[in-house]
Amino acid sequence: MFTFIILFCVERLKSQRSMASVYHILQGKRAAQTIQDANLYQLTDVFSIYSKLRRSQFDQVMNQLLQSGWIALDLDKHVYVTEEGKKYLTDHQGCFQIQYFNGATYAKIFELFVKRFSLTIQTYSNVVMHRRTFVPIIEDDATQQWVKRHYQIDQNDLKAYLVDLHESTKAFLQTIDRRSAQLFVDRLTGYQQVGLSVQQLAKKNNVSEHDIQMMLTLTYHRFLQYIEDRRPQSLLRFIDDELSLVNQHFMTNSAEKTYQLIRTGLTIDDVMAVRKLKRSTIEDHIVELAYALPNLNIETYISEVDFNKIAEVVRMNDNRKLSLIKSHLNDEFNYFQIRLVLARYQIKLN
Amino acid sequence: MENLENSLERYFSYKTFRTGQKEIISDIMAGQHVLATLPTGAGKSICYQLPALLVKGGVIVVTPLLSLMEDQVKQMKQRGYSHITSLNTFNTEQERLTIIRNLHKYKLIFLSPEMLQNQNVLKKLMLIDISLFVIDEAHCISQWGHEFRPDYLKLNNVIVDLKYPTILALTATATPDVQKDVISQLASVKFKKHIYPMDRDNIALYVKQVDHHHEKDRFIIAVLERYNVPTMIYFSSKKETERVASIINQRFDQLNVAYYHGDLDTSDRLLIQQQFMENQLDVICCTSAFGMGINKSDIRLIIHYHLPTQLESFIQEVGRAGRDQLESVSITLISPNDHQIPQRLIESELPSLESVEMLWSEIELLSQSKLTVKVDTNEWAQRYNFSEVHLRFIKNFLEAYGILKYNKYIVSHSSIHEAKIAIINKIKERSRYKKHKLNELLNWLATSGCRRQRLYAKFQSHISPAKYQCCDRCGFDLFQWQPKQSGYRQRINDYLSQLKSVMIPFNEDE
Repeated sequence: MFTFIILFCVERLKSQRSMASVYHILQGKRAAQTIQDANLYQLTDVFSIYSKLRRSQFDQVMNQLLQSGWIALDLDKHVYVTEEGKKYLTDHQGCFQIQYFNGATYAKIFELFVKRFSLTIQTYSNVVMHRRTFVPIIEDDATQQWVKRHYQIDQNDLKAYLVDLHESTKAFLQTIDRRSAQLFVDRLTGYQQVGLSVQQLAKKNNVSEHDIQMMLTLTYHRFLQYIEDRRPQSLLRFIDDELSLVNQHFMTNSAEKTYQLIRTGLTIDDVMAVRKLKRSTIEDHIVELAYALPNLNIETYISEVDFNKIAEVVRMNDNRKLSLIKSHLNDEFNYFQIRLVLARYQIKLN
Repeated sequence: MENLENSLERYFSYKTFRTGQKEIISDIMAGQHVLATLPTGAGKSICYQLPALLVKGGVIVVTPLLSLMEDQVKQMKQRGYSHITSLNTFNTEQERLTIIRNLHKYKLIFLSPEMLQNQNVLKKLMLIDISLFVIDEAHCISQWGHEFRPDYLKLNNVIVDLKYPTILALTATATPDVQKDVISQLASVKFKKHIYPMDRDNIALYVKQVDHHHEKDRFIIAVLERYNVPTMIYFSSKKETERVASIINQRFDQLNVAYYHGDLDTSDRLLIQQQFMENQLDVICCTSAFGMGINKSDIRLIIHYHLPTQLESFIQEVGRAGRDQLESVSITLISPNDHQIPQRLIESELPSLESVEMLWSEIELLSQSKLTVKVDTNEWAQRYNFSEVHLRFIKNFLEAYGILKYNKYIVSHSSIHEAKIAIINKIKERSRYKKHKLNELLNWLATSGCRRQRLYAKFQSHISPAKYQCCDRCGFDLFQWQPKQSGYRQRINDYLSQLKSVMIPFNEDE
C-alpha cells in the first residue's frame, strides 16, 4: 500500500518535483513550499499521513523503487513514474481505497485522537476490572491529563460509558472492510489484552511495517469522518474540544496572520508595513489563502480579464510549471498572478 | 508515626517486606549510612522509594542507567506519586532548565553521575534540604566493579558539598573486594553493611556444549517442543534475536514469540513488554536491553544463546527466572569459538589505542599553536569513531590532567605527554581486567565441579543447597524437569468478539 501511495504522489507531481517534496508532503512539513505543492498537485489528502516517517526510511523505499525501475529521475533530478510503475498503479487502482485519506483536514487532530482513544480504552477497561496499576501505552503527558480529567467525570458509571463506546465503535467497524477492522482491533489494548506491535501486525498480515502504518492511518481517517458525520456522543468527546483544529485552514501560521490583516481591508503594502515582511512573502501568503479559502475575493489582486487569459493558457497546456506558463504568456504577467490563477483553477477542477 | 509495614501497605499495597528491606529502611530512617547488596529482583528500589515518602527533605538517587531512571519515574507516577523527576542527558536543554529551576519542588530526584558535575545543578542542590543520598549500582564506584564509571569517584566531593546527608549505597552484585573498595572510596562515610546472598536455590543450572551454532537452534526447538513455559532467550546480537524468533515462529504454530532489542521504537517496546507480562507471549528473544524494570514472577526458563561478558551479568540475567520461588531452569548454550563474541564486545567498549594516539597528535599540534584553542569534542567522536562511552572516558582523562577545560577549550599544558601514557596504560589495564572477567565466566563454563557452588563462590561464603535440582554436574537431567506448563492461548480472530472483550471485559448482565 505504501508503494502505491508513493507512486500515486510521484505521478501527481508530473515530474516537476524532487523526491524530497514527496517526503515532506507525506511527513506533513508545515512549510509554505510543501503546502503549496500539496495544493498545486492535488495531494492535500495525503498530506501528513505519515508523520513518523524518517527520512532514512523514506530514502530506502525510494531506492528500492528506483532499483526496481518503477520510478526514475530526469536530468533535473525530478522524479517520475515509469511505464512499469504506471502499470502497477493501474493494476492496483481501487485496491487500497486511498480516496478515504483526509490528510490536510485531519493532520492536526489525527494523532491526538488516536492517543486519547487508545489510552481511554486501556484505562477504563482496566479500572472497571479493579486493576488500578498498569503501564500506560501512551506516555504523552497531555493525553494522560486529558484522560484523567474525563475519568473524574465518568468514574461513577464507567460501565455505561464503555457500553456506549463499544456500540459506536462497533457500528463504525461494520461500515468498513473486515481486514481493516481486524487490524484496528488487533492494535487496541485493554484489560489483560495487550495490542500487537506494528512489527507483529506486519508479520500477521504479511505486509510491510509501512503498509501497516498506512492502513491504520486510513482507518482512523475514516473513523474521524464517520464521527463528524454521525456525531455519536461517546466518540465525539475525543475531539470536540479541538474541533477548531479540524476546521482550521490548511495554511502556514504566518499566512493565517496575514489573512487576519487582509480581512480588515489592508492592502499588500499595508501588510508589508505592519508585519515588516517582504512583498514576495505576503504574496506567498495570498496564494496560500486563495487555495485554503475558495470564497476569498482575489479581484483586488488580478482582474477577471487577466484571470481568463492566464487560465486559458493553463487549460491548453496541462502543466503546472510556472516558468513555462509565463513564457507562453510572453512574460505579460508576473509569477504572483499566475500562481493565483492556478490556485483558483485548481479549486474549480475539484 | 505509623509503623513501616503500614506505610508499605498504604503506598505500595504490599503487606510484608521482602528480605532485608525493613532492616535497611529502619537504619536509614535512624540516620545510619548503609551499604547494602541485595540480589536483583529483591526489591532494591523500595529501600529508597518508601523513605522518600516518609522523610522531611528530598531524596537524591544517583544511577548510571538512563532506562532504569525512566522506568522508575514512570512506575512511581503510575502509583500516583508525582513529586518525582529525573535529570539526565535525555532531557532537552529546555526541560533540563525547567527541572533545575524547580528542583526544590521534587521529593525524589534521579540523576546521572555526570549531572552532579554540573555546577548549576550542584549549587541548586546545596540550597535544598537533602535527607537521603542514594548511590544505586554502587559497584560502579570501584574500579574492580564490573562497570567502573569515573564520575562515580567524584561522588565523595558531592557528599561533602551537600554536608553529609544519610548515604545509602546499593548494589546487586559486589564481591567482597568491591565492597571494600566502595567503602574506601567514600572514606568520609561510616557505613553499616547489609549483605544479602545472591544465590538462587530454585534455579537449576544447565550448560550444553554443541559443535556448531546451528545445533543451538535445534536444541532450542527440542526444548520448546517439550516445554511451554514463560521463556527468555538472551542474545548479544540484535539480528540474531530476529532470526531465531522467526525460526521458532515458523516451527511452532501455537507458541507466541517476539523479539526485543534497542532498535524497536518506544511504543512497540512497551507493547512487547506488556504482552510478556500478560502471558500473551510465551517466548521472548531479546538482548540485555530487555529485563530492566521487568517484574514478572513466573519466568521459568532462561536460555543464553550468547554469553554475556562476565559472571555478574550472567547471574543477573539468570536471576530473572523463578522469582515466585518455584522450580526454574537456566540453560547456557556454547559452541566452539563462542568466546569471540563477548571478546569483540569488550574490545569495542574501549577506544582503540591507534585512535587515542591520533587524537593526542592532534591535541599536541593544537596546543603548540596557541595557549587556548576552542574544540568541538563531538567532532572527535566522528573523526576517530568514538562512541559516547569512549568520548566520556577520554574527556575525563583530559579534564583530570587539566588539558581540557569547560568541555571546549584545549589548554596548552605540560602534562599532555604524561596524560597520553596514563590513558594508554589505563586502556590496557581495563582491557586486561575485562578479559579477566570474561575468563571467569569461561572458567565457570569449563568447571567440572558443582556449577552452583562455583557460580556464587566469589560473592558469598555460604551457598544454600539447591531446593529442587542442582546442575548438570550434579546430575540434573534437563528432560526430567516437570514444570507446570502454560496452556496454549486460544487466539480469537474475530474482530467483533475481540472488540467486545477489550471494551467490555465485565459481565454485562451484572
